[in-house]
Amino acid sequence: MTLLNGLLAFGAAAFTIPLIIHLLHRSRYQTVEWGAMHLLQSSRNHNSRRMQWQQLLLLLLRCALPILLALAMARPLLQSFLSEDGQSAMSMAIVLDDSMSMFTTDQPDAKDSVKTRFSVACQSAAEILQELPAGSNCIVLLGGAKPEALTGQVPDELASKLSEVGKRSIPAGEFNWEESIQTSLQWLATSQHPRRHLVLISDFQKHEWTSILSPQPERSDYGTIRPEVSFLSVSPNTESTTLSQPLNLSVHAVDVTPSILTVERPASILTTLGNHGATQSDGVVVAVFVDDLEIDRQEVFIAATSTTQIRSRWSPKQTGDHVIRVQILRDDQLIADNHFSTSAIVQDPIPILLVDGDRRSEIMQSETDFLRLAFSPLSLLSGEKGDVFLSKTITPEELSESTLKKYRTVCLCNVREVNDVQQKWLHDYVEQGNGLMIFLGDKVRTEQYQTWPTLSNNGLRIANYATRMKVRSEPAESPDSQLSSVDGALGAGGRIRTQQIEFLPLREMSSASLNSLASVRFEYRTPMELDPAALKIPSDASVAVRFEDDQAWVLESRIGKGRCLWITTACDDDDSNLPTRSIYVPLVQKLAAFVCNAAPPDTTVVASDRWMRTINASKWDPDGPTKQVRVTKPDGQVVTVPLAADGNMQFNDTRLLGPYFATLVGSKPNLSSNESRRNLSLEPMVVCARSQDWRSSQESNLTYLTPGEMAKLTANCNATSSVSARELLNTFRLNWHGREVWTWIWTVLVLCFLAEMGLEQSLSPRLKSKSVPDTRQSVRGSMS
Amino acid sequence: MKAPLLRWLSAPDLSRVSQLQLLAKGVVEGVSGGLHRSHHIGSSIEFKEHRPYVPGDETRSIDWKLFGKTDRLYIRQYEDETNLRCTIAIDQSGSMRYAGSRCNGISKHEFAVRLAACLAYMLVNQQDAVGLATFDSKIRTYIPPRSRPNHLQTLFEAMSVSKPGNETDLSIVLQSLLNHCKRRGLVFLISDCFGDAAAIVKSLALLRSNYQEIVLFQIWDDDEIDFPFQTRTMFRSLELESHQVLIDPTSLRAAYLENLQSFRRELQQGCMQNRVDLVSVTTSDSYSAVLSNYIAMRRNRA
Repeated sequence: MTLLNGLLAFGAAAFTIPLIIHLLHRSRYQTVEWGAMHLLQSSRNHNSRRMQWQQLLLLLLRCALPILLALAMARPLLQSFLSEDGQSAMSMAIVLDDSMSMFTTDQPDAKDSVKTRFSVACQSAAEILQELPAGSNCIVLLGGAKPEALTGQVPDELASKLSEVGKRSIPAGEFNWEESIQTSLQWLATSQHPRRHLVLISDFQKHEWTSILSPQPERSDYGTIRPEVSFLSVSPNTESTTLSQPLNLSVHAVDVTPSILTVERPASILTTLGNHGATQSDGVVVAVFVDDLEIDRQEVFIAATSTTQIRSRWSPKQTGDHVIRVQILRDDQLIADNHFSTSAIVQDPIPILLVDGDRRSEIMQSETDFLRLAFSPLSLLSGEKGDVFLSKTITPEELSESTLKKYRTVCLCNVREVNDVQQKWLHDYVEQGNGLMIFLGDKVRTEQYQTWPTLSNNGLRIANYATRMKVRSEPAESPDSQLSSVDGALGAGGRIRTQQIEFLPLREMSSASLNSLASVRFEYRTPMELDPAALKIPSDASVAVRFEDDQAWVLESRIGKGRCLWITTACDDDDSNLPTRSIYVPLVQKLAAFVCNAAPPDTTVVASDRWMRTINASKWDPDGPTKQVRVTKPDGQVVTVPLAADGNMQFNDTRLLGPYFATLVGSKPNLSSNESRRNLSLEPMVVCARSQDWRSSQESNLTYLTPGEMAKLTANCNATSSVSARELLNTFRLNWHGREVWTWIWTVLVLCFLAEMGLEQSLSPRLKSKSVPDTRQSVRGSMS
Repeated sequence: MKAPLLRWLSAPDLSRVSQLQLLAKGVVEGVSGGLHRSHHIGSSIEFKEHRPYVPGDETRSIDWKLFGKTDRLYIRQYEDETNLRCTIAIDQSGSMRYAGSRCNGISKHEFAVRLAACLAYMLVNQQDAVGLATFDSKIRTYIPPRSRPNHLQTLFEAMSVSKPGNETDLSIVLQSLLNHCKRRGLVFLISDCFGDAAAIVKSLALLRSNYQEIVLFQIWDDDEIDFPFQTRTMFRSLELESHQVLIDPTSLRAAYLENLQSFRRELQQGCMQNRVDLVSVTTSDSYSAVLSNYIAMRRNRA
């Protein structure tokens, strides 16, 4: 018997109180010299034995009361061997590791007949569940990435589900044992059965458990009853080391550059391969597939316990989401990490409108010549396709509302002034989700710009303008800096403050490299002073990038769904050496992509992270019911999720590694000639779930806890360890099981109390005096 | 030291008892005149019957007036009145030593002695002969009945030296009392009668068959009647010191009282069958009142 509140059991010692009172009472008596002994003796002969029993019974009852009270409060767990009473119902939580390492096969040569460790684990769990006593309830948690509970009413139902799950070949993310155990303990804490077990089935990779090989503080989140914890290891029980590991190749990562892909734009697929085995691998054939079509095959050499990279070229032929899968064509112990999938989104070129305020006929003299070159370098320099942006240049007078509709971004380049109507068009244009970039050059009339309505008045202005000024700059480090002095007031600060750039598109340009803003020198600028209080500018207008003298270079404001960027310098080489720097092309492309939200959505997510995607479903049955998205998971399971009114889809169940396909449900819109399938969301959208960064993830490193470490882990967790379900069940049978019996004890306690009261009343002198005759009167009245 | 009489009897008791007269129920034997009828035909003044003359009769007994009327000789016979021979038997066994908390410190034996003194004083005053026997397991003291006034002093002195202490066996004592009471008389037995009720009744019947009228004063203490003890008590026998029991009185009270009733019922029935007056008194009663009540009841019954 186990006491759940063992400390209260010491209260049973209070049974000595009535015992001591009884003994003291026995030792204290009065002495009477008595004559009528013959009457007393006969009475005593009749009653003494019965009375002794009654007194003894009363004493026992009084002693039993504190004992029963203490026992009841101590919450005893009545236990017996399984062979005697092992069929009392119990609660069991089984945590199954379904991370990638669990998909290891111990005999890779006979892969058809050999099961993965995960299937063995499922089989063991099913075997345990089938042996549970009737009335038991249980939960099975798949512990990879974010724990997932298998639902089932009875253990047999769960066991049959486990047999199905065991056939799965898709691993989940890394084993999240801590959250799994926490979830299990929370479930067990709400269980009604006093017998509670937590079984953890895993391969016990060393990196997962190293943190708790040192003694751990006792957990307290299991509720009243501490469940029995059992570990079932499905890994080989040997002193395995890295040096003794068999062949195990893996594809760590696949990266696709550039980030914005367009049709015919050459892309590079960089694959990182690893060899966890103790021997080098020659002639490893690696195939690269895009949408299941092989585009590249290479043969590589990977040294033992090292990594290597291969690069493949890919030229997208059509827009849409593509799945890029890299496969090592060689079987090893862990096949699940021999392939890696990622997705790539190929977009249509982004139409961008350049409004040139200083149009000239000479080459590279117009204000927008540098911008055109930066947006469409391939087509302008070599006549090739593949540019991300498709630009067109117009004069300020040609800017009209109908023109704006064809472009995603508008660049006002050194435009002298913009009339009120155009301002209104531009405001509405941005508000609808498009982008606007305004470069302030020497042609700009700041007085006219100062008259623009502010952001709070449905205008575009967010700052006050000052007169164009010359800034003092240190000599340029680059020899090709040929900035000339022009008129203007002397200013301070001709360099960008690269230390504190929080502006997302330009953040990576702050580091000291060829693509760093640190090498850019400025000579002129049109100061803009952001004064939110005076202009009543909302808080979503801010200075994105500053000069070293704290003056603004780039200002950002959100207008409706779109963005507007103010650049206080011209986009040509009049004000700075920026167009001559290598950073110029990526910088303006990033700014343009950012301002029109052209950056592709996530192509990969870490397993169990949320997949968010904005889907253009406006032309899908606009009058129909709420739109839904059908998501096909890597294991083929199809889940339907609702699509929000703003077109955002959120899908949380990404715990399985691999590609997830999302397609809109409903009647498809007709495809017109001027719209692509991608714009109408006719093609499925893809995201690929991956493990953590391969540099920190060690799922492919098949190193397990040694028997000694396993024993230490078992001791630290106060658990038992087994290597098979049969052994685990035998351990259960050898252990005590029990049933909480405090309710019975309370019942007995109440009965004892009532019996004590009854017996006490029956032995009470007052009660007895009422039942006996008044002999005194009868004696006095007798005179015969 | 007070005179024995004043030691045992107070002035109110004496005044109350001195006016009492005890009459024997049946005839008694005696030679001197008294209150009680005797079967001896003598010279008393109360005429009884005539009988024919037979030779040898005293001629002075012939009723000459009747001879003149009938011409036959008849003898006049008169019923003789004589004094009463009383024996007061006082139990001085150990059980009589008990004095409860509600009897002003008077033990049953002291109560018995005072009652006996009252009786003796009353009987001597009416010129009856009074004897005394004290007994426990056997008769310890026996003073034959005398009717002389100074005999009362002898009786009181004997009573004053009586000390309770030993065991008792009333049945044996009553049988041995027969040896002392060979003539008709009245026996006052003052005892608690603790013992075998059946044997006591049998002995009373034997004594009764020997022409002895018996009045049994059974002395009780209040504690013996209602058994008021509450706490655990060691009851130590007054007659046999080695006999003691430690009991919880509350648990035994009912059985004790039941036994008491049974014992009294058996004794009462035995006395009734043998025409023995059984007077149960408690030590908290006034002995003179008890005596006067009994005599009054006896007179009414006669």
